Amino acid sequence: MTVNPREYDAAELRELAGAESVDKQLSTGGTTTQTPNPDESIRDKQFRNLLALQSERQQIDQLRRPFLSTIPESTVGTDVCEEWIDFLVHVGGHERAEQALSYYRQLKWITPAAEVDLKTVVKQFPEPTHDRSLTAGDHRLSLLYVATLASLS
Amino acid sequence: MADETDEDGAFDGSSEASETTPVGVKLGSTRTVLQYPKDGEIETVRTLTCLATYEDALTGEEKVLYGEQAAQEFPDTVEFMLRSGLPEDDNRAALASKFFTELVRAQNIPEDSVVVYAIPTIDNDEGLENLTEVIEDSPIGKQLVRSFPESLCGAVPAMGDGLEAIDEVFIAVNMGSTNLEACAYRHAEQLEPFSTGAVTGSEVDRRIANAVEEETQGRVNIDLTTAREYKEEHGDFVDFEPFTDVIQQPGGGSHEFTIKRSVMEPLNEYVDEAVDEIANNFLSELANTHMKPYQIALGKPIALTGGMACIPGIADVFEERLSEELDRDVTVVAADRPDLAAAQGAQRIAAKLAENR
Repeated sequence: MTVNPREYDAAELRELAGAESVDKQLSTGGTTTQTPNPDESIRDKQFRNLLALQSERQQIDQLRRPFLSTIPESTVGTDVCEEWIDFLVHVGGHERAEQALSYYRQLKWITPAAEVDLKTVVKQFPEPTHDRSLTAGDHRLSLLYVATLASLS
Repeated sequence: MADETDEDGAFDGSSEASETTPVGVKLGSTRTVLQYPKDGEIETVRTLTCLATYEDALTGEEKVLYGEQAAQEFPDTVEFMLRSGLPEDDNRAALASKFFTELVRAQNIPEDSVVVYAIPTIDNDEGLENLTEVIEDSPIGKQLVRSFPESLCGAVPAMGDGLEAIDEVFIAVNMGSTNLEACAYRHAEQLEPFSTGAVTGSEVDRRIANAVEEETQGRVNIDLTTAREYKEEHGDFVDFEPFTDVIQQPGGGSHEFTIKRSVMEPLNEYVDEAVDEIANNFLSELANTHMKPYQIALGKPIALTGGMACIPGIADVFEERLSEELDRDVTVVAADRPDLAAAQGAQRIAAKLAENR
Protein backbone atom coordinates (compact mmCIF):
# COMPACT_ATOMS: atom_id res chain seq x y z
CA MET A 1 0.00 0.00 0.00
CA THR A 2 1.21 3.51 -0.72
CA VAL A 3 -0.03 6.64 1.00
CA ASN A 4 1.82 8.90 -1.41
CA PRO A 5 -0.75 11.63 -2.18
CA ARG A 6 0.73 12.03 -5.67
CA GLU A 7 -0.21 8.49 -6.62
CA TYR A 8 -3.96 8.49 -6.09
CA ASP A 9 -6.37 7.19 -8.68
CA ALA A 10 -8.04 10.23 -10.28
CA ALA A 11 -10.40 7.99 -12.30
CA GLU A 12 -11.71 6.38 -9.10
CA LEU A 13 -12.30 9.80 -7.58
CA ARG A 14 -14.17 10.97 -10.66
CA GLU A 15 -16.34 7.88 -10.59
CA LEU A 16 -17.13 8.49 -6.90
CA ALA A 17 -18.14 12.07 -7.67
CA GLY A 18 -20.39 10.87 -10.49
CA ALA A 19 -18.32 12.81 -13.03
CA GLU A 20 -18.02 11.75 -16.64
CA SER A 21 -14.83 9.80 -17.28
CA VAL A 22 -11.98 11.64 -18.96
CA ASP A 23 -11.90 9.04 -21.78
CA LYS A 24 -15.57 9.68 -22.52
CA GLN A 25 -15.02 13.43 -22.52
CA LEU A 26 -12.16 12.97 -24.96
CA SER A 27 -14.32 10.97 -27.33
CA THR A 28 -17.12 13.52 -27.22
CA GLY A 29 -14.93 16.58 -27.45
CA GLY A 30 -15.67 17.49 -23.86
CA THR A 31 -13.84 19.65 -21.42
CA THR A 32 -10.58 17.72 -21.18
CA THR A 33 -8.97 17.19 -24.52
CA GLN A 34 -5.41 16.36 -23.53
CA THR A 35 -4.25 12.91 -22.50
CA PRO A 36 -3.68 13.33 -18.78
CA ASN A 37 0.05 13.74 -18.44
CA PRO A 38 1.29 16.38 -16.00
CA ASP A 39 4.69 16.48 -17.68
CA GLU A 40 3.23 17.35 -21.06
CA SER A 41 2.83 21.00 -21.78
CA ILE A 42 -0.30 21.82 -23.71
CA ARG A 43 1.15 25.01 -25.04
CA ASP A 44 4.52 23.47 -25.95
CA LYS A 45 2.76 20.62 -27.72
CA GLN A 46 0.62 23.04 -29.70
CA PHE A 47 3.65 25.07 -30.69
CA ARG A 48 5.52 21.94 -31.72
CA ASN A 49 2.58 20.77 -33.83
CA LEU A 50 2.24 24.20 -35.35
CA LEU A 51 5.90 24.46 -36.25
CA ALA A 52 5.85 20.99 -37.80
CA LEU A 53 2.81 21.87 -39.89
CA GLN A 54 4.23 25.21 -40.93
CA SER A 55 7.52 23.69 -42.03
CA GLU A 56 5.57 21.46 -44.41
CA ARG A 57 3.50 24.32 -45.73
CA GLN A 58 5.99 27.09 -46.38
CA GLN A 59 3.73 28.54 -49.03
CA ILE A 60 1.22 29.70 -46.46
CA ASP A 61 1.38 33.43 -46.10
CA GLN A 62 0.97 33.76 -42.33
CA LEU A 63 0.73 37.54 -42.51
CA ARG A 64 -2.31 37.69 -44.75
CA ARG A 65 -5.60 38.41 -43.01
CA PRO A 66 -8.01 36.91 -42.33
CA PHE A 67 -5.86 34.08 -41.07
CA LEU A 68 -8.66 31.53 -40.96
CA SER A 69 -11.24 31.39 -43.75
CA THR A 70 -12.72 27.91 -43.26
CA ILE A 71 -12.78 25.27 -40.55
CA PRO A 72 -10.73 22.25 -41.65
CA GLU A 73 -13.00 19.26 -42.24
CA SER A 74 -10.44 16.71 -41.07
CA THR A 75 -10.86 14.92 -37.73
CA VAL A 76 -7.83 16.76 -36.34
CA GLY A 77 -9.29 20.09 -37.51
CA THR A 78 -12.66 19.35 -35.91
CA ASP A 79 -10.98 18.25 -32.67
CA VAL A 80 -8.82 21.39 -32.46
CA CYS A 81 -11.82 23.56 -33.27
CA GLU A 82 -13.93 21.91 -30.56
CA GLU A 83 -11.10 22.17 -28.06
CA TRP A 84 -10.82 25.91 -28.78
CA ILE A 85 -14.54 26.64 -28.49
CA ASP A 86 -14.77 24.44 -25.39
CA PHE A 87 -12.05 26.57 -23.84
CA LEU A 88 -13.85 29.84 -24.68
CA VAL A 89 -17.18 28.55 -23.32
CA HIS A 90 -15.56 27.01 -20.23
CA VAL A 91 -13.93 30.35 -19.35
CA GLY A 92 -16.56 32.89 -20.39
CA GLY A 93 -19.84 31.10 -21.09
CA HIS A 94 -21.89 31.08 -24.33
CA GLU A 95 -22.42 34.82 -24.67
CA ARG A 96 -18.80 35.83 -24.15
CA ALA A 97 -17.58 33.03 -26.43
CA GLU A 98 -19.83 34.34 -29.24
CA GLN A 99 -18.73 37.93 -28.55
CA ALA A 100 -15.10 36.80 -28.72
CA LEU A 101 -15.70 35.16 -32.11
CA SER A 102 -17.27 38.39 -33.40
CA TYR A 103 -14.27 40.27 -32.03
CA TYR A 104 -11.89 37.93 -33.85
CA ARG A 105 -13.85 38.54 -37.05
CA GLN A 106 -13.48 42.31 -36.52
CA LEU A 107 -9.74 41.84 -36.02
CA LYS A 108 -9.77 39.83 -39.26
CA TRP A 109 -8.37 36.76 -37.57
CA ILE A 110 -11.32 34.81 -39.02
CA THR A 111 -13.72 35.35 -41.94
CA PRO A 112 -17.46 35.96 -41.41
CA ALA A 113 -18.10 32.45 -42.76
CA ALA A 114 -15.71 30.92 -40.22
CA GLU A 115 -17.39 32.98 -37.49
CA VAL A 116 -20.79 31.52 -38.41
CA ASP A 117 -19.41 27.96 -38.44
CA LEU A 118 -17.66 28.42 -35.12
CA LYS A 119 -20.73 29.92 -33.44
CA THR A 120 -22.68 26.75 -34.26
CA VAL A 121 -20.16 24.83 -32.12
CA VAL A 122 -20.61 27.12 -29.09
CA LYS A 123 -23.95 25.60 -28.04
CA GLN A 124 -22.47 22.08 -28.02
CA PHE A 125 -20.86 22.86 -24.66
CA PRO A 126 -22.71 23.45 -21.40
CA GLU A 127 -22.65 26.78 -19.59
CA PRO A 128 -19.89 26.69 -16.93
CA THR A 129 -20.65 26.97 -13.21
CA HIS A 130 -18.29 29.92 -12.86
CA ASP A 131 -17.49 32.28 -15.71
CA ARG A 132 -15.52 35.47 -16.18
CA SER A 133 -14.51 38.01 -18.83
CA LEU A 134 -11.95 36.85 -21.34
CA THR A 135 -8.49 38.33 -20.83
CA ALA A 136 -5.62 39.19 -23.16
CA GLY A 137 -4.08 35.83 -22.24
CA ASP A 138 -7.26 34.05 -23.38
CA HIS A 139 -7.18 35.91 -26.71
CA ARG A 140 -3.49 35.02 -27.19
CA LEU A 141 -4.45 31.38 -26.73
CA SER A 142 -7.26 31.87 -29.25
CA LEU A 143 -4.76 33.25 -31.76
CA LEU A 144 -2.71 30.11 -31.30
CA TYR A 145 -5.79 28.00 -32.12
CA VAL A 146 -6.48 30.22 -35.16
CA ALA A 147 -2.92 29.68 -36.37
CA THR A 148 -3.16 25.93 -35.76
CA LEU A 149 -6.43 25.68 -37.70
CA ALA A 150 -5.06 27.87 -40.52
CA SER A 151 -2.09 25.52 -40.84
CA LEU A 152 -4.44 22.55 -41.10
CA SER A 153 -6.61 24.17 -43.81
CA MET B 1 -9.00 12.57 26.91
CA ALA B 2 -8.36 16.10 25.81
CA ASP B 3 -9.98 16.86 22.56
CA GLU B 4 -12.61 19.05 21.06
CA THR B 5 -15.69 17.71 19.46
CA ASP B 6 -18.45 19.40 17.59
CA GLU B 7 -20.98 18.61 14.98
CA ASP B 8 -21.25 19.57 11.36
CA GLY B 9 -24.47 18.95 9.56
CA ALA B 10 -23.47 20.67 6.29
CA PHE B 11 -22.99 17.37 4.46
CA ASP B 12 -24.66 14.14 5.27
CA GLY B 13 -21.73 11.82 4.76
CA SER B 14 -23.13 9.24 7.11
CA SER B 15 -23.47 6.70 4.31
CA GLU B 16 -26.86 5.39 5.31
CA ALA B 17 -26.78 2.77 2.57
CA SER B 18 -23.90 1.04 4.25
CA GLU B 19 -23.05 -0.15 7.74
CA THR B 20 -19.40 0.62 7.14
CA THR B 21 -18.20 3.72 8.98
CA PRO B 22 -16.60 6.26 6.64
CA VAL B 23 -13.84 8.20 8.37
CA GLY B 24 -11.90 11.24 7.20
CA VAL B 25 -8.51 11.85 8.80
CA LYS B 26 -6.06 14.69 8.65
CA LEU B 27 -2.89 13.91 10.58
CA GLY B 28 -1.51 17.44 10.81
CA SER B 29 1.81 18.62 12.20
CA THR B 30 0.04 20.69 14.86
CA ARG B 31 -3.50 19.29 14.97
CA THR B 32 -5.14 16.07 13.95
CA VAL B 33 -8.75 16.10 12.83
CA LEU B 34 -11.11 13.14 12.48
CA GLN B 35 -14.61 13.18 11.04
CA TYR B 36 -17.03 10.27 11.09
CA PRO B 37 -20.77 9.66 11.43
CA LYS B 38 -22.12 9.10 14.91
CA ASP B 39 -25.82 8.86 15.81
CA GLY B 40 -26.84 10.29 12.45
CA GLU B 41 -24.59 13.36 12.71
CA ILE B 42 -21.05 14.04 11.60
CA GLU B 43 -18.75 14.02 14.61
CA THR B 44 -15.59 16.12 14.48
CA VAL B 45 -12.61 15.42 16.70
CA ARG B 46 -9.86 18.03 16.72
CA THR B 47 -6.84 17.53 18.92
CA LEU B 48 -3.17 18.46 19.15
CA THR B 49 -0.90 15.94 17.43
CA CYS B 50 1.19 15.21 20.49
CA LEU B 51 1.82 12.46 22.97
CA ALA B 52 3.20 12.16 26.49
CA THR B 53 3.87 9.03 28.52
CA TYR B 54 4.27 8.62 32.27
CA GLU B 55 4.58 5.79 34.79
CA ASP B 56 1.58 5.15 36.97
CA ALA B 57 2.79 5.65 40.55
CA LEU B 58 0.62 2.81 41.89
CA THR B 59 0.88 0.11 39.25
CA GLY B 60 4.15 1.03 37.52
CA GLU B 61 2.40 0.73 34.17
CA GLU B 62 3.18 3.10 31.33
CA LYS B 63 0.28 5.50 30.75
CA VAL B 64 -0.28 7.44 27.57
CA LEU B 65 -1.80 10.91 27.20
CA TYR B 66 -2.40 12.72 23.96
CA GLY B 67 -3.67 16.05 22.67
CA GLU B 68 -4.34 19.14 24.79
CA GLN B 69 -4.18 17.16 28.04
CA ALA B 70 -0.67 15.91 27.23
CA ALA B 71 0.49 19.40 26.21
CA GLN B 72 -0.91 20.96 29.39
CA GLU B 73 0.15 18.36 31.92
CA PHE B 74 3.53 17.36 30.44
CA PRO B 75 4.81 20.47 28.61
CA ASP B 76 8.41 19.40 29.30
CA THR B 77 8.21 15.92 27.76
CA VAL B 78 5.34 16.13 25.29
CA GLU B 79 6.31 15.04 21.75
CA PHE B 80 4.90 16.60 18.59
CA MET B 81 5.95 13.70 16.38
CA LEU B 82 4.84 15.15 13.04
CA ARG B 83 6.58 18.50 13.36
CA SER B 84 7.82 18.41 9.75
CA GLY B 85 4.49 17.10 8.42
CA LEU B 86 5.56 13.43 8.25
CA PRO B 87 7.22 11.06 10.78
CA GLU B 88 10.94 11.61 10.10
CA ASP B 89 12.30 8.40 11.67
CA ASP B 90 11.30 5.08 13.22
CA ASN B 91 10.99 6.61 16.68
CA ARG B 92 8.58 9.30 15.54
CA ALA B 93 6.67 6.74 13.44
CA ALA B 94 6.22 4.58 16.57
CA LEU B 95 5.02 7.61 18.54
CA ALA B 96 2.64 8.62 15.75
CA SER B 97 1.29 5.08 15.66
CA LYS B 98 0.74 5.09 19.43
CA PHE B 99 -0.92 8.53 19.26
CA PHE B 100 -3.28 7.57 16.47
CA THR B 101 -4.21 4.25 18.06
CA GLU B 102 -5.02 5.99 21.36
CA LEU B 103 -7.06 8.62 19.55
CA VAL B 104 -9.25 6.26 17.51
CA ARG B 105 -9.76 3.87 20.45
CA ALA B 106 -10.92 6.79 22.60
CA GLN B 107 -13.52 7.62 19.96
CA ASN B 108 -14.67 3.98 19.59
CA ILE B 109 -14.35 4.13 15.83
CA PRO B 110 -15.13 0.68 14.41
CA GLU B 111 -12.25 -1.30 12.90
CA ASP B 112 -14.55 -2.26 10.05
CA SER B 113 -14.37 1.16 8.46
CA VAL B 114 -13.42 2.97 5.26
CA VAL B 115 -10.76 5.56 5.99
CA VAL B 116 -9.53 8.38 3.77
CA TYR B 117 -6.37 10.22 4.83
CA ALA B 118 -5.57 13.76 3.72
CA ILE B 119 -1.80 13.76 3.28
CA PRO B 120 0.51 16.75 2.73
CA THR B 121 2.33 16.73 -0.62
CA ILE B 122 5.91 16.73 0.64
CA ASP B 123 8.90 15.28 -1.23
CA ASN B 124 10.06 12.98 1.55
CA ASP B 125 10.07 9.29 0.63
CA GLU B 126 11.28 8.12 4.04
CA GLY B 127 8.59 10.17 5.80
CA LEU B 128 5.93 8.72 3.51
CA GLU B 129 7.17 5.17 4.18
CA ASN B 130 6.99 5.85 7.91
CA LEU B 131 3.48 7.26 7.55
CA THR B 132 2.49 4.17 5.56
CA GLU B 133 3.53 2.05 8.54
CA VAL B 134 1.50 4.24 10.90
CA ILE B 135 -1.58 3.83 8.71
CA GLU B 136 -1.07 0.08 8.23
CA ASP B 137 -0.70 -0.38 12.01
CA SER B 138 -3.84 1.64 12.68
CA PRO B 139 -6.80 -0.30 14.16
CA ILE B 140 -9.26 1.31 11.71
CA GLY B 141 -9.73 1.04 7.96
CA LYS B 142 -10.09 -2.73 7.72
CA GLN B 143 -12.55 -2.32 4.82
CA LEU B 144 -10.60 0.19 2.74
CA VAL B 145 -7.91 2.83 3.06
CA ARG B 146 -7.19 5.61 0.58
CA SER B 147 -5.07 8.74 0.70
CA PHE B 148 -5.44 11.96 -1.26
CA PRO B 149 -3.59 15.29 -1.27
CA GLU B 150 -4.49 17.53 1.64
CA SER B 151 -5.06 20.48 -0.70
CA LEU B 152 -7.61 18.49 -2.73
CA CYS B 153 -9.47 17.20 0.35
CA GLY B 154 -9.46 20.70 1.84
CA ALA B 155 -10.88 22.20 -1.34
CA VAL B 156 -13.88 19.82 -1.35
CA PRO B 157 -15.91 21.67 1.35
CA ALA B 158 -14.72 25.04 0.04
CA MET B 159 -16.14 24.33 -3.43
CA GLY B 160 -19.58 22.97 -2.53
CA ASP B 161 -21.75 20.78 -0.34
CA GLY B 162 -20.79 17.53 -2.07
CA LEU B 163 -17.88 16.46 -4.26
CA GLU B 164 -18.25 19.24 -6.86
CA ALA B 165 -14.55 20.05 -6.66
CA ILE B 166 -13.68 16.69 -8.22
CA ASP B 167 -15.20 17.69 -11.58
CA GLU B 168 -13.76 21.21 -11.67
CA VAL B 169 -10.61 22.86 -12.95
CA PHE B 170 -9.35 24.92 -10.04
CA ILE B 171 -6.42 25.90 -7.87
CA ALA B 172 -6.09 24.97 -4.19
CA VAL B 173 -3.72 26.65 -1.74
CA ASN B 174 -3.10 25.00 1.62
CA MET B 175 -1.66 27.29 4.30
CA GLY B 176 -0.27 24.87 6.86
CA SER B 177 1.92 25.05 9.95
CA THR B 178 4.91 23.48 8.24
CA ASN B 179 4.24 23.93 4.53
CA LEU B 180 2.61 26.17 1.98
CA GLU B 181 1.13 23.91 -0.69
CA ALA B 182 -0.54 24.74 -3.95
CA CYS B 183 -1.81 22.63 -6.79
CA ALA B 184 -4.03 22.96 -9.82
CA TYR B 185 -6.62 20.22 -10.26
CA ARG B 186 -8.14 19.33 -13.62
CA HIS B 187 -11.11 17.03 -13.06
CA ALA B 188 -9.32 15.41 -10.08
CA GLU B 189 -6.00 15.15 -11.89
CA GLN B 190 -3.10 16.86 -10.15
CA LEU B 191 -1.20 19.47 -12.17
CA GLU B 192 2.03 21.09 -10.94
CA PRO B 193 1.94 20.20 -7.23
CA PHE B 194 3.96 22.83 -5.38
CA SER B 195 5.19 22.84 -1.81
CA THR B 196 7.56 25.05 0.14
CA GLY B 197 8.72 24.98 3.74
CA ALA B 198 9.82 28.62 3.52
CA VAL B 199 6.42 30.20 4.21
CA THR B 200 4.74 28.53 7.17
CA GLY B 201 2.51 29.09 10.17
CA SER B 202 5.34 27.95 12.44
CA GLU B 203 7.59 30.67 11.04
CA VAL B 204 4.88 33.22 11.87
CA ASP B 205 4.92 31.92 15.48
CA ARG B 206 8.70 32.39 15.63
CA ARG B 207 8.41 35.93 14.26
CA ILE B 208 5.66 36.79 16.74
CA ALA B 209 7.85 35.58 19.63
CA ASN B 210 10.75 37.74 18.39
CA ALA B 211 8.50 40.74 17.73
CA VAL B 212 7.02 40.57 21.24
CA GLU B 213 10.51 40.69 22.71
CA GLU B 214 11.31 43.69 20.52
CA GLU B 215 8.04 45.51 21.19
CA THR B 216 8.48 45.14 24.96
CA GLN B 217 12.13 46.26 24.79
CA GLY B 218 13.32 42.82 25.83
CA ARG B 219 11.19 42.64 28.97
CA VAL B 220 8.96 39.82 27.73
CA ASN B 221 10.00 36.51 26.20
CA ILE B 222 7.24 34.17 25.11
CA ASP B 223 7.55 30.57 23.95
CA LEU B 224 6.30 29.35 20.57
CA THR B 225 3.12 27.84 22.03
CA THR B 226 2.15 31.24 23.49
CA ALA B 227 3.04 32.90 20.18
CA ARG B 228 0.74 30.45 18.37
CA GLU B 229 -2.03 31.19 20.88
CA TYR B 230 -1.57 34.96 20.32
CA LYS B 231 -1.83 34.36 16.58
CA GLU B 232 -4.92 32.17 16.85
CA GLU B 233 -6.73 34.30 19.45
CA HIS B 234 -5.81 37.83 18.38
CA GLY B 235 -4.71 37.65 14.72
CA ASP B 236 -7.40 39.41 12.70
CA PHE B 237 -7.11 41.21 9.35
CA VAL B 238 -10.58 42.70 9.72
CA ASP B 239 -10.71 44.02 13.23
CA PHE B 240 -7.44 43.63 15.13
CA GLU B 241 -7.38 45.20 18.56
CA PRO B 242 -4.27 45.66 20.73
CA PHE B 243 -4.36 43.34 23.75
CA THR B 244 -2.68 43.11 27.12
CA ASP B 245 -1.13 40.14 28.87
CA VAL B 246 0.66 39.61 32.18
CA ILE B 247 3.82 37.67 33.02
CA GLN B 248 5.19 36.76 36.42
CA GLN B 249 8.59 38.34 37.12
CA PRO B 250 11.38 35.94 38.28
CA GLY B 251 11.96 38.03 41.43
CA GLY B 252 8.25 38.21 42.29
CA GLY B 253 5.48 40.53 41.14
CA SER B 254 4.03 40.71 37.69
CA HIS B 255 4.52 42.72 34.53
CA GLU B 256 1.61 43.79 32.33
CA PHE B 257 2.33 44.59 28.70
CA THR B 258 0.34 45.57 25.62
CA ILE B 259 0.85 44.11 22.15
CA LYS B 260 0.03 46.47 19.31
CA ARG B 261 2.01 45.28 16.28
CA SER B 262 3.81 42.03 17.13
CA VAL B 263 1.00 39.81 15.86
CA MET B 264 -0.20 41.61 12.74
CA GLU B 265 3.22 42.54 11.31
CA PRO B 266 4.37 38.90 11.06
CA LEU B 267 0.95 37.96 9.66
CA ASN B 268 1.17 40.68 7.01
CA GLU B 269 4.67 39.49 6.09
CA TYR B 270 3.31 35.94 5.84
CA VAL B 271 0.59 36.95 3.37
CA ASP B 272 3.09 38.96 1.28
CA GLU B 273 5.47 36.00 1.15
CA ALA B 274 2.67 33.53 0.38
CA VAL B 275 1.44 35.74 -2.47
CA ASP B 276 4.99 35.98 -3.82
CA GLU B 277 5.47 32.18 -3.74
CA ILE B 278 2.08 31.47 -5.32
CA ALA B 279 2.26 34.16 -8.02
CA ASN B 280 5.91 33.99 -8.98
CA ASN B 281 6.79 30.34 -8.43
CA PHE B 282 3.68 28.17 -8.57
CA LEU B 283 1.46 30.10 -11.00
CA SER B 284 4.26 31.12 -13.37
CA GLU B 285 5.29 27.46 -13.64
CA LEU B 286 1.68 26.40 -14.13
CA ALA B 287 1.24 29.00 -16.90
CA ASN B 288 4.36 27.68 -18.63
CA THR B 289 3.41 24.05 -18.51
CA HIS B 290 -0.40 24.07 -18.58
CA MET B 291 -1.56 27.26 -20.27
CA LYS B 292 -5.18 26.29 -20.80
CA PRO B 293 -5.90 24.93 -17.30
CA TYR B 294 -4.07 27.99 -15.93
CA GLN B 295 -6.39 30.35 -17.80
CA ILE B 296 -9.49 28.38 -16.81
CA ALA B 297 -8.50 27.92 -13.16
CA LEU B 298 -7.69 31.57 -12.57
CA GLY B 299 -11.22 32.42 -13.63
CA LYS B 300 -12.61 30.16 -10.90
CA PRO B 301 -12.42 30.73 -7.15
CA ILE B 302 -9.09 29.67 -5.62
CA ALA B 303 -9.74 27.39 -2.63
CA LEU B 304 -7.82 28.40 0.49
CA THR B 305 -7.38 25.79 3.24
CA GLY B 306 -5.20 24.98 6.25
CA GLY B 307 -4.81 26.32 9.77
CA MET B 308 -3.47 29.72 8.69
CA ALA B 309 -6.60 30.28 6.58
CA CYS B 310 -8.54 30.51 9.87
CA ILE B 311 -7.17 34.00 10.61
CA PRO B 312 -10.22 36.26 10.10
CA GLY B 313 -10.05 38.21 6.85
CA ILE B 314 -6.95 36.45 5.49
CA ALA B 315 -8.82 35.16 2.42
CA ASP B 316 -9.82 38.70 1.40
CA VAL B 317 -6.33 40.09 2.00
CA PHE B 318 -4.78 37.20 0.06
CA GLU B 319 -7.27 37.76 -2.78
CA GLU B 320 -6.53 41.49 -2.93
CA ARG B 321 -2.73 41.11 -2.89
CA LEU B 322 -2.68 38.19 -5.32
CA SER B 323 -4.90 40.16 -7.74
CA GLU B 324 -2.46 43.07 -7.47
CA GLU B 325 0.56 40.82 -8.04
CA LEU B 326 -1.01 39.10 -11.06
CA ASP B 327 -2.55 42.34 -12.36
CA ARG B 328 -5.87 40.58 -12.85
CA ASP B 329 -8.85 39.93 -10.61
CA VAL B 330 -8.91 36.59 -8.85
CA THR B 331 -11.43 35.27 -6.33
CA VAL B 332 -10.47 33.34 -3.20
CA VAL B 333 -12.85 31.13 -1.21
CA ALA B 334 -12.38 29.20 2.01
CA ALA B 335 -14.44 26.57 3.78
CA ASP B 336 -16.35 27.70 6.87
CA ARG B 337 -13.69 26.00 8.99
CA PRO B 338 -10.47 25.86 6.95
CA ASP B 339 -8.71 23.95 9.75
CA LEU B 340 -11.28 21.14 9.53
CA ALA B 341 -11.71 21.24 5.76
CA ALA B 342 -9.18 18.55 4.84
CA ALA B 343 -10.75 15.97 7.19
CA GLN B 344 -14.23 17.03 6.10
CA GLY B 345 -13.37 16.53 2.41
CA ALA B 346 -11.67 13.21 3.20
CA GLN B 347 -14.80 12.08 5.07
CA ARG B 348 -17.05 12.94 2.10
CA ILE B 349 -14.83 10.85 -0.17
CA ALA B 350 -14.82 8.02 2.40
CA ALA B 351 -18.65 8.15 2.55
CA LYS B 352 -18.84 7.70 -1.23
CA LEU B 353 -16.34 4.84 -1.12
CA ALA B 354 -18.38 3.16 1.62
CA GLU B 355 -21.60 3.63 -0.35
CA ASN B 356 -20.09 1.93 -3.38
CA ARG B 357 -18.92 -1.13 -1.50
